[in-house]
Amino acid sequence: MKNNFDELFDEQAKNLFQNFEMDFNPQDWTKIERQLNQSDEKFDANARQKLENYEMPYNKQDWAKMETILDKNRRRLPYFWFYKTLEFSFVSLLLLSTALLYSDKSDFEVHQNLAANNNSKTANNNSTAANNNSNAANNNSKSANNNSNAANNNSKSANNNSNAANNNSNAANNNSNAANNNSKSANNNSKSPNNNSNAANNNSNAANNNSKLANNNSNTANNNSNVANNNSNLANNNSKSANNNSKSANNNSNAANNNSNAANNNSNAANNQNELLLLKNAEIANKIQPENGNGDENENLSAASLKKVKLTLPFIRQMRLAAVLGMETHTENSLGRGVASFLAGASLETDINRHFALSFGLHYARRNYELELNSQETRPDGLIFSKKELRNTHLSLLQIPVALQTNVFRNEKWRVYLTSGLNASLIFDKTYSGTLQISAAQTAGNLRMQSNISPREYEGGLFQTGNFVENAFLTAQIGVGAERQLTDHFSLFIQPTYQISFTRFGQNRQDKTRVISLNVGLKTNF
Amino acid sequence: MELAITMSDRETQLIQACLREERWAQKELYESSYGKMLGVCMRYSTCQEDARDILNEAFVKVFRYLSRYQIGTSLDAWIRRIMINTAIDFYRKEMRHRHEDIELVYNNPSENTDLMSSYSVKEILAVIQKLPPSYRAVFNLYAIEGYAHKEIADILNITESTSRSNLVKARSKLKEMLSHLYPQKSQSTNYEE
Repeated sequence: MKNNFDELFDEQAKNLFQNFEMDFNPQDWTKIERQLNQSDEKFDANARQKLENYEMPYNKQDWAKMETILDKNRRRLPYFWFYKTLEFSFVSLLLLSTALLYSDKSDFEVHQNLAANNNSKTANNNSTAANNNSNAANNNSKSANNNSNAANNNSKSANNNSNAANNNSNAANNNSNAANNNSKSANNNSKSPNNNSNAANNNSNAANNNSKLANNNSNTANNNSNVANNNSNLANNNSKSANNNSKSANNNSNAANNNSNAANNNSNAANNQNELLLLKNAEIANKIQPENGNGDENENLSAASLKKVKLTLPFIRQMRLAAVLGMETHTENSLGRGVASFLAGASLETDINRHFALSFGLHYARRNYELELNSQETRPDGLIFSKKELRNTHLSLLQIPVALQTNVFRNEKWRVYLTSGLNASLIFDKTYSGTLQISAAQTAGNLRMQSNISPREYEGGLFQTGNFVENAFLTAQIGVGAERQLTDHFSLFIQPTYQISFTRFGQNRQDKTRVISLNVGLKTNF
Repeated sequence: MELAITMSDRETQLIQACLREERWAQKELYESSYGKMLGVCMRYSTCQEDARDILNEAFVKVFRYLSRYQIGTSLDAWIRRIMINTAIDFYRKEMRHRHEDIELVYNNPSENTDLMSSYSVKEILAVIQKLPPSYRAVFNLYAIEGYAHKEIADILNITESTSRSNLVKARSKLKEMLSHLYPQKSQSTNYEE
């Protein structure tokens, strides 16, 4: 039984300790935290030690599964590239064909307009009907220099033209309109040679001046009529001005852009490379395994089993990049006799299966032609002039060949295949060189002139003054190729090819060509 | 972490052959890395089947991107990293299709810091595979691979605090599961202490 003192003591003690708190000591917490961290770290370290280098036992079924996945992926990847390549080629051909068809139509209209101009017999228009470009003016000045009979007016006009022509932007197809514009703006142009907006007409003014002079003086060199396209009109000029005629005649004879087809088509790398690689791999494996010490399967590979491996391992699709050089010869056309030409380029090939491969590429081809033209012209006064023109033409082409290759024979080192396909060609540059001799036949020895031909009197390539329709064409090609494997990654090939164009090209789209080429090159697979 | 090492001719040859997609080389690389890498995959998956799927998927990447491997660094570490990344991808997919049951952490059953050492690898793997994916991923990345919480947060697209929290929970749950699944070992370890 408690007395009052005890009760009081208990009460006071209770009150005293009921809200009693010790001051916080951070060191105590640090100590606990360290212990906790150490505990966690040790736990983690133990787990790491146990698990880090843990290895599961090998299961052959897993490799079989893996191999299936790899085969599936390997089959899928070349298909991807094949379809992409096919898609690209198809779209390219489609665009080219569309452009050609469209150009056919517009070309027809242009020729109709030209015919109308010819009927009106406005000879001066011919000069302006030409591609209203800067070359025309320069042509004039050069032609004037070439011709000793050039009138002063002509040379002035030529200067005017040269200033103005830099600003010419009219297209070649505006021939029918050009004729009218030229005749109207003739005077203005002659007075203001630097008038940029009338630049195209400046050329025609020169032609007007020249033609007038030609009427007054039969010997006036009307060099300004450097018309490339309007051949029939130029013929009218010829009857009035001798020099003009001669050049116009030349233009006529050079009417066509004689594009010939470049050989191309890199041959594809052999599919048998896969087998070759596999065979080598198996050999390497034999060498490696003894060092490894655990190659239980490969160690036992004998020559007989290698053959079995070679026969049973799956076909591996590959892509190959080929660098190609080629020599080619082509048939005669309106540019003249074909002489030795060459091509260079690259192509990409992809296997379709064991028997077929698809290739497409980008080639540059340089084609050369020689032409000799002899003609006679009789002036109204009865004087007969003989002309002899020797001209070399050099065409630069870009080609996109697409071909399907079919293997006819192959072993570990050789592959022989047939190739067939299409080749889209674009003449982007044309250059000319040569001489023009004019002599009076009745006064032989007394009147004889020789000059270099003016390249700018002739039609240009697509990147010069030419239009697309006259500088683009399609060819079909067939060929046979032989490929020799050098190493695992490199092979040499040789591939003769025959091409024939099935769309026309050149001036007035009158030319077709046939090309025989011999391509050689180096391929690498990746 | 890149280790500069001198590669043996054989390894170089193997890699080059793999780059040429030569099957024998691929098989050899697969076989040589199989055990370790499947062990890695096991830690990130819930069962062996999943681990094998991860392994094969990762090896497809290895063969596809082997050209990116820098000669002179550790091939093993490079492959391991691909394994982990693939496992994390797998984890992400798993998280999309599954509502994770994040349980409350039991009371810490044992403060025995040497708990792990008394269990076999298979036993530890078994309990790790039973962890919820988010715990398992954090625990693997932090405790085994040595990633920092910030890196883990970036990899798993979570916050750092979540990573810390998951790690604590993972540890606790591991301890709890080990104690419950293998009580005898747990007790014997305590007695030893």
